[in-house]
Amino acid sequence: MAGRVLVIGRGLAGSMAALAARQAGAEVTVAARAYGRTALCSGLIGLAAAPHPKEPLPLDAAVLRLLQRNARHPYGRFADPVGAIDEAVRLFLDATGDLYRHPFDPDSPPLQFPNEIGTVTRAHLGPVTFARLGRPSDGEALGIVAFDDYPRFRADFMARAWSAFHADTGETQRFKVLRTTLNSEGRLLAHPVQAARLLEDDTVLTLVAERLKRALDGTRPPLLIFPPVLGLTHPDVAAKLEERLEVPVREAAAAQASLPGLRLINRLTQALAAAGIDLQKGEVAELDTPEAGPLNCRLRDHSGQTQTLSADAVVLATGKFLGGGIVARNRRFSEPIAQAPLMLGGRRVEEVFMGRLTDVDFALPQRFARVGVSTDEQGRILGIKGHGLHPRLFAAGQLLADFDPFMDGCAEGVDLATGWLAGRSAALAAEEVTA
Amino acid sequence: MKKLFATLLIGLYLMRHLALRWLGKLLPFLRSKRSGEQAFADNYRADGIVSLPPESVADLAALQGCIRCELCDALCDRTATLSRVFFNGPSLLASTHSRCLPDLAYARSYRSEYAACGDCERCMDACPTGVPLKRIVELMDRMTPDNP
Repeated sequence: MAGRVLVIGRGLAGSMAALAARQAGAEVTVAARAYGRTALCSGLIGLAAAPHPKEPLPLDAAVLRLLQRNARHPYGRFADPVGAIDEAVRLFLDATGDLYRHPFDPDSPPLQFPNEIGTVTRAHLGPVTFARLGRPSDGEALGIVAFDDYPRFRADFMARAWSAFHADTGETQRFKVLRTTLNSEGRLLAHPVQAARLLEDDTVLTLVAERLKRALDGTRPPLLIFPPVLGLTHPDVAAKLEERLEVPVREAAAAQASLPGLRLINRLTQALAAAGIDLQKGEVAELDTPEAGPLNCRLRDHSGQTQTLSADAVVLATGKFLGGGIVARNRRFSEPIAQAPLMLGGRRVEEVFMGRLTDVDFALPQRFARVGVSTDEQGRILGIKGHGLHPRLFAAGQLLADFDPFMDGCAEGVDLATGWLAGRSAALAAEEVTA
Repeated sequence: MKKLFATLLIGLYLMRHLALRWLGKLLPFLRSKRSGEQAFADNYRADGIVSLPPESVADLAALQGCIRCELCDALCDRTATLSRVFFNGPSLLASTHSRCLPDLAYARSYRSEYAACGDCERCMDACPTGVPLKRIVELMDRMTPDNP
């Protein structure tokens, strides 16, 4: 009989843990109250940051550098971190289908994506529809599409990101800005989802394509860059535009609180359903962890009704401060579900004022970002004295201690690798119990 | 002269209050019919200031979680079709009525916007910080029963 694994949280780490546990043969249930932090991410998958923008390191060198600086980093749980990341990424690419269909090569430096706020984001993986920086096209102007009723995206910011990239080499890239509108009512579109919903409508898409074709006036730029709003549920919007305009169509990389983040979470939800994983909505009211027998989780939905889920192993992928995995209130840090001890640099953090762990300089590393739960090599949560809190209780993703998702550039990488590890270990632990 | 008069008046009222309180203990029929809480509610209800029931106090911590990501607005079917002139979206609930005790005089004017939401819970399913948006409407209703 297959073991039962319960994953709490449905962000990137939770989804990866669920998929890995399912792949290992467990019966998996995912319990989540809402979208995770992943819904707010830019859609890019950062595995390890380059130390300097002009010094792009391949993945293995970047991971080694992270571990040299901080031996407690979650990547340090693996004997072969790059191999584990590679395997987790392959599972992720299988799950997300054509959304991230890059040939992933751990030996290559991170890719460079010009983003909608006028800078360049470096990440090892990005949605296939995102434009990537490259050499300037000789004499030909790239097209940038700006919608007058979608003020969030500015063509000049996009052009700036490309120009700054080429500033060192002295080469210049010309741009042609094509302006049009998405809706005829003159309504301003405040959120990318509103723009994306309109573009999913075939009549609007046809109208926009016709207007752009007129604006292009017979010219065919090597690339046409759109705001990152090409499809919320139907990722084929870019392909449709490409077909109608007969020009390669790409999106600018998104800043945070973006549509590509939602697209990712939607695709992961589809992948969970396709793998036969049960998704239950509700907030965890109580997690009962007896030494022997099944672990019981009481789940309360929006209307206050409760249900109890039993599992042989539990993975916590509840995120950090945003997702509610860690609560910092009344000068106290706490992990509300399993009451796991929170650690920072090998020491317990509990009765500490959050302000003592922050720095006034926004650009400096903030220590509070490293607070989290410690785990062993299998992803099992550790207690204060270094022994397991419970043999069948695992943690993954942002909940883990001793990495800085902002400075280390590895937020999604940690989600993928530790989610994969915790899911696999939970499936094994659950199988041992049932055997 | 005015100051002296004001001080005397305050003194007079203080003496009256103390005397009534003292007498009230001896003679029950002199006691006020209203409790302190009731008197407070009667006096301030018109200004939209009411006391919070204990279950709402427990909710307040969860209600404060809004980070203005606007995912709730983005995924709301009504925000997608209605202009902001007619519907402000669920985020208004979280951003204006949950930081502290809701400003009810202000909240009342928006209450009708959320009447048509029905049983839809898309905003709550989307919220990354788990703000119970629908409970804010319930809280508004509970606190202003005579001013729907």
